[in-house]
Parts: sequence; structure tokens; C-alpha cells
Amino acid sequence: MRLRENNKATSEASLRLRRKAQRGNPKFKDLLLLDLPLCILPKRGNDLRSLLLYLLFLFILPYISLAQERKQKPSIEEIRDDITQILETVSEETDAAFNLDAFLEQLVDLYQKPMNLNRASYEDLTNLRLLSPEQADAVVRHREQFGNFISIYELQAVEYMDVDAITRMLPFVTVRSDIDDYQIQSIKQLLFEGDFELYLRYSQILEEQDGYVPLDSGETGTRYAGNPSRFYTRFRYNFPNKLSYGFTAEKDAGEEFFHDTQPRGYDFYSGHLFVRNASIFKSIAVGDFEAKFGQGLIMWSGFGFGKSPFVTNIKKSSEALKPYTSVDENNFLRGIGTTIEAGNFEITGFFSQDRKDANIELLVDTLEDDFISQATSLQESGLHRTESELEDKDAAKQLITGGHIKFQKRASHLALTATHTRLDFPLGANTSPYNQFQFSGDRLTNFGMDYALLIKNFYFFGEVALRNNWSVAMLYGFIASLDPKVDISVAYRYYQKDYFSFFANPFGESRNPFNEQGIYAGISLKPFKKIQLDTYIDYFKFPWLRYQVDAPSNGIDFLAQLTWKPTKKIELYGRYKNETKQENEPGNTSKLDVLADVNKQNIRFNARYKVSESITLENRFEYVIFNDGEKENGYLIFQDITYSALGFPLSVSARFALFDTKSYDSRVYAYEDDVLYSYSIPGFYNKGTRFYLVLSYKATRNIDLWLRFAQAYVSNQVTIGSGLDEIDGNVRNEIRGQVRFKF
Amino acid sequence: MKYFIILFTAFSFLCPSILAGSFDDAVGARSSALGNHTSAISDVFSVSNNQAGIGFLKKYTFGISAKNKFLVKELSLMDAAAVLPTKTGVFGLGVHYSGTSLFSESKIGIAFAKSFGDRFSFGLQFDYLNFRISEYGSKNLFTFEAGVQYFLVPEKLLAGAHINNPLRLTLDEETDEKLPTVMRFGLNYSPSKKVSVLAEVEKDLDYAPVFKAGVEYRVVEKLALRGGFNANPFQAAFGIGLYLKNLTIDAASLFHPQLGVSPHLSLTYAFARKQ
Repeated sequence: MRLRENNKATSEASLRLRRKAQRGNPKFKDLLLLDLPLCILPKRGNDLRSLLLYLLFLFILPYISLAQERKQKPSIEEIRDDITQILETVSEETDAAFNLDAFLEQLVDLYQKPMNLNRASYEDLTNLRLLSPEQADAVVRHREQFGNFISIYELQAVEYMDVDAITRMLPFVTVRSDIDDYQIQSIKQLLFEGDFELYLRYSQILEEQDGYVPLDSGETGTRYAGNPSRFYTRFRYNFPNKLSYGFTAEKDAGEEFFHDTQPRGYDFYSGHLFVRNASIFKSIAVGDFEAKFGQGLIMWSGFGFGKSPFVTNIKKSSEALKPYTSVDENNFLRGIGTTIEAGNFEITGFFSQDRKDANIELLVDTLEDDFISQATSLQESGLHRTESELEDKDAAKQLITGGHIKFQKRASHLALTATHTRLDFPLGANTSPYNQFQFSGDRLTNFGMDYALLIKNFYFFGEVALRNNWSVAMLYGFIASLDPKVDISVAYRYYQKDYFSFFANPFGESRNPFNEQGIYAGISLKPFKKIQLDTYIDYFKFPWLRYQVDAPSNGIDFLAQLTWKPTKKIELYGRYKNETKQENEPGNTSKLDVLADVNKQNIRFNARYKVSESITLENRFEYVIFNDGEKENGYLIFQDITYSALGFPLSVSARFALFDTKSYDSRVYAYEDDVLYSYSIPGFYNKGTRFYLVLSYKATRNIDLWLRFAQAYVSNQVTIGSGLDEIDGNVRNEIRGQVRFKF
Repeated sequence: MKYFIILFTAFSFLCPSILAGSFDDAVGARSSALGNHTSAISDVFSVSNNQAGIGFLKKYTFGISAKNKFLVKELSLMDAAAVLPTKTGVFGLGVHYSGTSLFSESKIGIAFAKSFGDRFSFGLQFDYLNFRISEYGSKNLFTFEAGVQYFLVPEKLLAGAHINNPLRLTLDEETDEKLPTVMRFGLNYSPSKKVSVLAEVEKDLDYAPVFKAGVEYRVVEKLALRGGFNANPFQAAFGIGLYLKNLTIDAASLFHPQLGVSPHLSLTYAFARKQ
């Protein structure tokens, strides 16, 4: 009884305070302009599944049926857009595919079971990047000061909150007074009331590629062992915030299936069992999982944000352990792990043992007159199609043990990390000048410290990591909201040339934190309500040589993006990116390599227009100027159309694109819609067209179907692709089908 | 001397726009800390940076500024400035000296600026320049510079433009030794009294354009934090400002990735006009 009175008193006091805050808060006025239905979220649970589906569609296949709710939720589209933009930037930077499934899944989970603002920790609030650190911290502080939130409206009274942030987070949060949202009534509920999902996917390139053409008699060469079809199966049971288990299996094109070299069927299997919030155990992972600590200088398996148009998004933050459900065959941990939470302490420990693809060779030891085996390199493609690829498969065993101890208070924390890695074959010594400081041997120990500290509106963070040869990698930075209209971010990195960690995923230019120093500064301005200007500059240097860069080198990367949203239905942005790096001068025939500046500029204009409730159009024009002494340029122009009608089960998304680039150097990247949980960001070069069509059909309450057809055509070439993937012709057609059962 | 000439040549070659004559350097540690932004700032050192800036000043103000480039003794720059607001307009006096007894550059500038309302100001300066190389002799030269500043949005968005040596005077016709002709255009956006975001583009007739950006944040009444950079060539900058009663102390450091650190310190003293 007293408790209730107490609560009442606090809530009255807080209401008074809030009213006061609202009166003085100009933001409040803005908020009233939001659609009301957006503020009062529909009762979930009633049609949870359709809501979930709705979100899923929106991410990869936007504007697809089930649109009962979509009118009220422009915010999700915005997030989808954000993700697309980040993806595009990342793939331009790394030129490599990466996995985003886990990130998407988390959002979906959260949509399904929104976070209770009265229970959410600081970490929960920042995990999905819906809120900035100051905002998340302010929410927690607000709650500590004034008691539980009474309604979602209260967010507008929280310091540092703005309309954008509130709109963005609304679909994912709720306000309830339950003691524990995660409370489950029975084991039966835990085991059966979550979602079962089964995905089956098939895709194939229709034209014959060289790798599948049988060898003529007398002809020598390599051929793929299997057929060109690609299969993917995924099963997952998920009870949000409590339990998840499932498996994923994949056969890539060219790999065999239940035959000869692949007696187990699929080439890759992955399985996980993941328990969350079980008494003191924040998480328990068995099977495949991801571990993410600090700023990723020691351990960050899976996807991590880097430089992107979201210029203040430079701090990494994640739960320590997460289930792994993707098909990247190398970038995950396999074993057991757990995180224990005790007061302000969080202790994580894990053990992983997995076989990695590696090229093993025998060397003669002349002194001992003996043979030594060593791995020349670890392979990361995950493809096992040819004899040599199959030979390398799972050739080296990698053992990793690690731990992470974190003391945290809201947004601030101090943590220690240590990992130890062993390989059963030593990684061979590197003999070229450029890689002579890179890791070799069979044992590696890393340890380090990371921190985050929020002082008023300045959020400082950093990590210092050491390897057992005492080389260092460091990253320091801060983000600050100087004004509701001005956010800045600054980061300095110093990665020594002989530092290394297998699962590092650092901020910067390189994929691994060695041989790089740099300083990054970003600023995000919102001078007017509908206009946003984001820009960053990054200066970096590589104190030692790099691959095809035979001298210490440096570079600079600049980006500016202006976004204008004149109405809710229109979004326009213009982007300019300019990156200069140094490489060996091309066409230099003398014995001594000299460096030349290689400059790439991208100019992009993108427009998105929602013509009606069911039709959305998107246009892009992108122009690339590449200059490595000889100037060349390329461009891409596309038109997207997406149709998804209210209450109509079939949705369509299509693109037609024209591209014309002088060579691969001036290629242009563009994100493409795909079947759910599949994604592609191809780079286009030469002269040609691109077309795709994605159909999505909700057959029954439990079954969804996707079908995708994509065609690439080049007019100035007689073949497409290279090596064994080469097609004798100038057209490449690809089909992909997917079905999902949900129960 | 030999060392100096080698360095000078090397620097001029490596980063011409950083060292295109000491007259064009940003004066005042505040400007330095904001990535050498000079065109859309209004303080006492506007006497040398963009004379239009003094047009908005209402107090008698004096300032001294000392800068050292890349910790090379010979590349020291010293400046003094004074601003005298009158009924007809604002008068300014700027004195500059850089170098050593072996080689020096000095300048005396007399400036006049007038603001029309609170939104627009125009400024002009006549310069008397002196170049002196020991045992070779010295050379004197007259030139002028001019600038404007105007608020696009009152108190929030200030634009500034400045041109130095518009008549393209040369130091020596025979050797074609030029006095740089430099133009700058900048914006200064202050969404609140605490924050300023600045951007500037600078074009020297003979070199590629330089882009600059900076942020100033008044953490508390008495303390400002600043940061900025130059691009092309790249140089990072940061600094602080201490605002005491009549005295302002500004300190800044610029970092060039190859050439190193350039510290900068300046003092400003202002007092109100007697009524």
C-alpha cells in the first residue's frame, strides 16, 4: 500500500515537473505535429505476426503488403533507409560482403516485443542505434529522477530528446509497469510460444559459367565439383529476450550436395542455442555465437559500423555475446560462452574451437632434416568448389579462449579484455617486405582495456589493446551534442604495424588494426527542420608498406551529404565523397616503385517519392571520377518502383538501371532489394543495364513466398565475369526463390 | 641561414599554401584553432584577417598574437592589433613581424571599417610591407586589402569575404617574385550563443583551393573549446579560449602530419568606451 502511495506521489511530482518541462520545451510543439497513431502504438499481440512481417518486409523489401499498419509508421522506412546507406558505404569501403542478418533480426525481435522504457538499461537503449548516448543516458536518468514513465508521451520531456529520435524509437518501445517483462509463466510457454521460422532459399545463375563446362578430352584446367545452384536452409525458434535456437545450412554455387566431396550434404552448417536473462546469467551461448567487446580492437566478430554518412555513429557498442545465425563461414565463434551480471559488474567468458580454411604447405627444415607443416594463409571466402578450395577446407584448427570484465554505470563503463588464440598449424612467416610485420606463428595473446565516459553532453570512449609482442593498438574518441542542431564526433586511432588480433574489427581504413594512424572528425548539422548536413573528414597514414604500396603512404577521405525532406513523402539527398590514397604508380616500368595519388570522387543525387499509399518511386544518379594519373569516369542511373497495396497479398519491387563506366576502377555501387534476409550491393562497371524484379506473396498466415529475377547486361563486352565464373555472352540472368514457414 | 633556406624551399615546395608568405597567415589563436578560419570572424585580429570584422566591434580593443610554425625558430610570427571605434567608423592598426635578423618580413596596416546597421560591415586596409634579407638589402611595398561581412540570418549566420592584394602587385618584376593574391569566403553558423560552426574556402591565385572547417564550443561562460582542420593540404587544429573580465587568452595548436606542430598564443584586452 505504501509502495503504491509512494509511486503515486512520485508520479504526481514527476507529472508536475513534466508539465513544466513541456511548457518550456519548444520541442513539445513539434511533437504534436506527429501523427497521433504513431504516438499511441497499436495494441500489439493481437496481430503480432503481421506486424513483424510488416517490419521484415520493410527492411529488405519495402512497401510490401500487410500495410494495415504502415501508414502509421514512416519511421521504420527511415531506419531501413539508414541501413541501406550504411551498407552501401561499407561495401564501397571494404569491397567485400558482410553479414547483417543478426542486426536485422534484433530489430525485428524488438519490434515484436518492444522494449519497456521502465526496464530498459542504457545498453538496451543504445544497442540498436535508435538513440544517441546522451539521449539514452538521459532516459535512464529521467527514470531514476522522476520515477517510472507513465506514458510514451513523456519522452518529449527528457533532456536531449528530439522529435526525430522519438519518431525513430517509437515502434520499438513501450511503457508498462510490469515488474518484469521477461517473466514467463511456464516452461511450456518458453518452449512453444515463441516463433518458429523455417526458410528455404534457392538461387542460380541461368547462363553456363566456365567452371561448369566439362573439360574437353586433353584439355586441362579446373572445374567446379558441384552444380550451379545455391541452397540455403534456416530454422530458428525465438522467444525474444529468453531463448533462441536453430540452425543454418548453405551450399554455395559450384559446391557439391550430398555427394562425393560433400557427404554431409550442405557445405556449411551452423547451429546455436542461446539463453538470455536466466537468473544471474545475462546470456548463455552454446554452439555458434558472436562476441563483441569494446571498440573491436581485440574482439568483434560480425558486423561493425565504421565511417558512413551517419557521421556521429562512430562508437561501437553491443551486447557481449549474441547468437550467430548467418552464413559467413569464418567470422564467428563456435563453442560456449556466458555473461554473468552481478550488480554493476558484467563478466563474460567464452571458449571457441573451430576449423578454419587454410592453405597448408610442407616445408623442409634443413637443420633438423625434418618436415614442418605451416599454414600460408587463412582463407575467408567460404567457397569450396574446386579441388584446391576443398583441400584448404577446415585445414587449420583455431582455439580461442577469452574473457571480458566490465564495470558499468549507465552510459559509462570501464572494462578489461583478454583473449588467447592457438592454431594447430603455425601461420607461416611473411616474406614480402610489405607483410613482414604481420602475425605469424601459432599462438597469440591479446589483452586490453576499454572505457566509455559520459560527462554532460560529451561522450568519451576508447580502447587500448596489446598483443603479446607488446605492440599496441589504440582508439580514442568522443561524440558530443553541442546544440540540438549540432552534433560532432572525433576519433583518433593509432595501430602499430605489428599489432594483430584475429577477430578485430576496428574503426578506420584497414580491416585489421595494424599499420594505421588517423584522425577523424564529423559534424552533423540540422540548421532547419527539414534539412540536415552531414560531413566528415578523415586523414590517415600507413607508416609501413601495404599490398601494392611500396612505401609509407597516407590518404584523406571526405564526405558531405545534404538531406532535404520537404514533406513526409519526399526525401532528397545529395552526396559528395572524395577519397585520396597512395598506390604504386601504374605503368611505371623502372625498378623502383614510386607512389602516386589515387583519387576517387563520388557525386550522388537520390530522390525518393511516395506517389500514393501503394506506390513509391526512387531515382538515383551517381557519377564517379577516378584518377590515378589517368582520369576516367563512370555513372549509374536507376529508377525503382515499388508497389504494395493495402490488404493485397502481392507486392512488387523493380529496378531498371543504366551504367557506363570506363573500367572497374570507376565502378559504382548500389544497394538492391532482394528476398528477405538476403541482400546484395553489387558494383557495376563497363557499359550496360541492370534489371531486377522482386515479387513477394503472402500465401497464408504462415507461409510467405519470394521470387526474384535479376538481369545484368553489358553492351561493350563479349563475356561477363572472370575466371571460372566467366559467362560466354553479355547477359547474366539470376533467379532466386524463397519460402518461409512461420508457426 | 643555409638550413633556413633549405627548409623554406622544402616547405614552400611541400605545402605552398601553408607558407605562401607570412602576411597571409591567420592572426590570433582563435582563428588558428578553427582551422585558420579568418573571413567570417569578428574580433580584434580581424584588423589583419578581414577588416570588415572590426566594423562590428564596440569596445577599444588591443591584442597581441605570437605563432611559431612547425617549431622552427625562423618561422615565428608576431602580430599586434588595436581597434578604435569612433562615430564615423572603426579604425584599426595592425603590426606584423616574422623571421629573424637574417630574413624578415614586416607589415604595418591601417584599417578602416564601417558597419551599416547590425547586418553589414565593410572594411579596407592599406599596408606598408617590408622585406629584409641581411647583407642583400630590403624592399618596401604598398598594397591594400578589403573585406565584407554580413549576417544572412541575424545573429545566427555570418558570411564573410576578403581579398588580399587585389592589384596583383609583385615583389620583384625581374624574378617574378609574387606577393600572393588570396581570396577567402567563409560562413559562421551559430545556432546558439554557445556554439559556432565555421567553414571557409581560400584560393591563392597560384595554388589549389584550401578548405577549412572549425567548431567553437563555449563550455562555460569563461571557457571555449575549439577544433578545426584545413584540407588540401591537411592540417588539424585545436585550441582553447579563456574569457576573463577584460582579458581573453587564446591558445591553439596546429598539426601537420609531415611537418609537425605549430603552437599559437594570443591575448586580447578590451574595455568599454567612456561615455
